[in-house]
Amino acid sequence: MKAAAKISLFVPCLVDQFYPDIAKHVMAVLSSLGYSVEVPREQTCCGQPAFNAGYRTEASRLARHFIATFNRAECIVAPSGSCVSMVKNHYQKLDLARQDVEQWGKIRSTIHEFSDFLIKHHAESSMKGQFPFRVYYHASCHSLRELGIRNAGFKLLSRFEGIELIDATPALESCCGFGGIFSLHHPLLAEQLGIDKIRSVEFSPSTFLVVNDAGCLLHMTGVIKHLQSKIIPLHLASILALAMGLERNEYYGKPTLDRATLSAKE
Amino acid sequence: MNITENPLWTGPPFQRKNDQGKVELMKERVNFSRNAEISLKNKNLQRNLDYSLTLSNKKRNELVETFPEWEEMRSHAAQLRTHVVENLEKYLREFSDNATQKGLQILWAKDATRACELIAGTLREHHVSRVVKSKSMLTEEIDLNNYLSKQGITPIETDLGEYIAQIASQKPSHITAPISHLSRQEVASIMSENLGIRYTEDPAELTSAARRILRSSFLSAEAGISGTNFGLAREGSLVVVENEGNARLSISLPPIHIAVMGIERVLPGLADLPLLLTLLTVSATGQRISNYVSIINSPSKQGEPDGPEKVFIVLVDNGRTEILRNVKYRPILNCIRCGACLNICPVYRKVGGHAYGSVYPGPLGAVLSPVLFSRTQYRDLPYASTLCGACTEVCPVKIPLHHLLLDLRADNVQSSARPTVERIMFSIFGLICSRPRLYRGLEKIIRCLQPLIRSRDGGLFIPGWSKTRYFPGLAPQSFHAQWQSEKMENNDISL
Repeated sequence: MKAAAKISLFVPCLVDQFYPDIAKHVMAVLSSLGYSVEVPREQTCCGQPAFNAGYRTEASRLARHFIATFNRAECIVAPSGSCVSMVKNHYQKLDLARQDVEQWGKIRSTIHEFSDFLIKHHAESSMKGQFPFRVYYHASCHSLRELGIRNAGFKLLSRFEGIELIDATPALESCCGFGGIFSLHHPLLAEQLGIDKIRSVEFSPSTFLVVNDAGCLLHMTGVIKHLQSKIIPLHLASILALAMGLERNEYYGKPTLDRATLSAKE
Repeated sequence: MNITENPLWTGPPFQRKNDQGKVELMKERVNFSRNAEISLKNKNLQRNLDYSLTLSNKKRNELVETFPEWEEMRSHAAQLRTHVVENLEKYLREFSDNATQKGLQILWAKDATRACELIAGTLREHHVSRVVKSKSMLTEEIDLNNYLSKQGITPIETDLGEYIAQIASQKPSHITAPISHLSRQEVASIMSENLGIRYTEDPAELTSAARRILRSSFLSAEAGISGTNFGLAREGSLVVVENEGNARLSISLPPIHIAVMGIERVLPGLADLPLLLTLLTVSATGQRISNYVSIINSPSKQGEPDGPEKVFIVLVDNGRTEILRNVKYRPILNCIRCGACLNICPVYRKVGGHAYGSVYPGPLGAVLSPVLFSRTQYRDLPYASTLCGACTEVCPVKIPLHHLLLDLRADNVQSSARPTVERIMFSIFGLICSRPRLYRGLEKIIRCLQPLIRSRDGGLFIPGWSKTRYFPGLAPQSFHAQWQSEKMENNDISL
């Protein structure tokens, strides 16, 4: 099954500002699979931060902007379960004009979370690669529970040669403590949830904690650094790009992932 | 005396003692952030919660696995509960008519005070001075024990957990597992100090000590008070679900039985019970069915050797019809009080029930407390969630708990209950993000200013965050800035 050949990429604001490489990796993976990827210029934020904090007027404004930006897209892909869920499940609670609602109806069915899109449209044979490391996969709460994407990321990762994929489902399905403004309102609580999560990952050299949402990544990175843990947090798209040989240069400046480490493991 | 002075107290200081020396909830606005931080420091509490709640979740999850039709059951139950709540008047009328016909006496209570008056009045009328109680969160809600004590009537909790909480002058911290915040050692010292028994941590010995004492209470009590899990409209019967047998004794041994029931707890009829009962016990304790399920049809009839001579049902509104009027929050009335959302909630699992400062803690409480009791007092609770949705996923009657929390947050914003700084921040955020050119321009300016907002760990300084965690700096260039640059236009996306 082949989806529309042209993909409009939605780059979540956190990715845009803090982790631009994730967007590049998504593009690299999609391009390697034969898609032409466009990035609508006017895009900003889906409105989720405002919505989750209760600011619906602001969220509505951003929803209208999102709809206007993407209403002609044949197929939208975003590397974030929570942004996709925001668009799919929560826009209906916002103040939209009738025309917006009609266009949203279409967008709702054309927007896909990255891992879900890949697993639905690409058989194992089309995504080959190797990743000879130990990997824990944490699916973001919103992709799990709001979109019902249970194990797309896990399945994608299991396709790669040499990967040691750890199935620690109950521990990894619990929240990392980010929760948007929650992590600001309740810093100690959020930190503690993050620590619990990191502790559930049994460390060995070159252990990756892979997530499919930049929010989780931001939080876990923050906790990992605070704990001085050597676990490497990465977005799923980055792992795919690495494993499929699409990532060539040094990565984020993280010494653990440069060529030297990769070859040392071999 | 503040309850925190009690060395056995493991919860945050949100409760106090009244003039009679009885514990009651504070009336001030609950400061959840502060309570949570106090709870987090209590390592003992962390351990106890982790131990008991992990176990409940595990049992529940393993049992749910054995029901291939679990999702259909949930959907069906959700529909059924919604139907009842939407036709509450009809079902309540039917319930009350049929119950009355069978000799059960119905008393209607508009609010907590009225409910307490009715119960105390009935007890006084029958010259009751000692009453045994089986577990009921509704009696906690109306603060019945304190009311009865003031009237000179002694209430004795007989559910083991509730009993231990009562002798320790503590409030339950969980709706089905009242002392899940306590360890076995803490229970042992509470019991040995208050009951004058020798210190032991052996659960069997502790239980039998409690049983000995409670048994005499059952025999001497002049009335029994119970909660109600379900009222069956077609039959006019009451359903009481429990594990210890204390409820059955409370409702069958003394000559008077008073059942307290929230008006939303009706089901159309007996035929609906198996589904709801299974969902309740599986979700609450991971049991296919509880040890005891009592269905009360009437007072004891002539010639019957046992059973109470009189049975009263106090139907309590206490704000429920208010919720019923508000379509947005109506689904919370579907709740069957299983406690599964508490057990699964990452926040509840860290802070325990007392931090919520309400009879109803956890995700259920974070929704119910503001809409049932007070928007002002429980203003913080909708933020006591990461919105992970685990509560919604586990709810046996599919209440969209974390979506209701979002609605409550929106209400707070609408009623200007949020700090000015936050309001301004989000207004600016909305303005910037709906103007792409402004957004793109500002991202460059902010990058120039970035060195000014560095935190000591080299990341960005974000108030509230940087105390405990590292926040990465902004990337040198945003993705869009890079994408727009010429290199990107040539479609060379190699890095």
